[in-house]
Amino acid sequence: MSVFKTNIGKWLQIKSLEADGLYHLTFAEHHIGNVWIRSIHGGVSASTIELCAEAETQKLLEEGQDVTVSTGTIDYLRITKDADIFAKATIVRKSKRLSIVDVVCWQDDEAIPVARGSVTLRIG
Amino acid sequence: MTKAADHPAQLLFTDKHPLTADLKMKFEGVVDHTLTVTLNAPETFADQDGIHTHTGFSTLFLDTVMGSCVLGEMENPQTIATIKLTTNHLGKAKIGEKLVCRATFQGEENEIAYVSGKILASKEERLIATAIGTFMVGTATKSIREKS
Repeated sequence: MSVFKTNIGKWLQIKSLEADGLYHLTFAEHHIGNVWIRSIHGGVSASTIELCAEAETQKLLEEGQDVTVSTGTIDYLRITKDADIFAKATIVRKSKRLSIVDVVCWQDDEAIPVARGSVTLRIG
Repeated sequence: MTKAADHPAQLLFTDKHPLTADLKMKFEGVVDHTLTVTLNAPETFADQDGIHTHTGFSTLFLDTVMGSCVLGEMENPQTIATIKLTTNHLGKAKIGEKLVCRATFQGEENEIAYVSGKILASKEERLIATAIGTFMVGTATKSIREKS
């Protein structure tokens, strides 16, 4: 099952786009972290990065294999606003037991990223 | 011990905040620069098996509590923003089980605050996740929509 069909996937409102490795979070009021400047919660961006890394790895799994996030490191590059987030996931390395995925997030312009993350996942 | 009503992040521990209203967090107090918050692992953040929460939930919970920890340490109220967050996921939380998140303020230098945090399943003190968070103190007070 796609990670986006889970409860957390539905709460985040993420879907996979047709372009390779591209994902889209539809903004919702419950994504707000700082209510005064209406920026998206840092944990929402981080969770989005983890789910996108997981979804990208799921595409390469063999029958019966599963994947879970082991470690995520997120850099917050700019203040977000109350708007949709796009994410691009790139698999840096996939071995039999591990997958390392880089994810970049932006809102208005891919050239102006709001966050980036490196996620290590365990394949079992 | 600091009480919720005295803590600068008290908004986060009520149902008035759009995100934390879903988490239903309970403020347990601050002792020796360590903020403790509890909640029951919410079904809203269930993973594919429908039994456990997804790792993304632990990340979200840790970021929230560690940020609150920073707010509680500041002498004058200021806005903050997470600038870096590393989370290690050591276990999975079962939906409905009581979780304890502890965030410890490590210090502040050049307007950057450093915090460590962990989530434990309270019954058997099973470690669910650990994290290191870095927060910028004194960030924007206006929406970027107002700036542009």
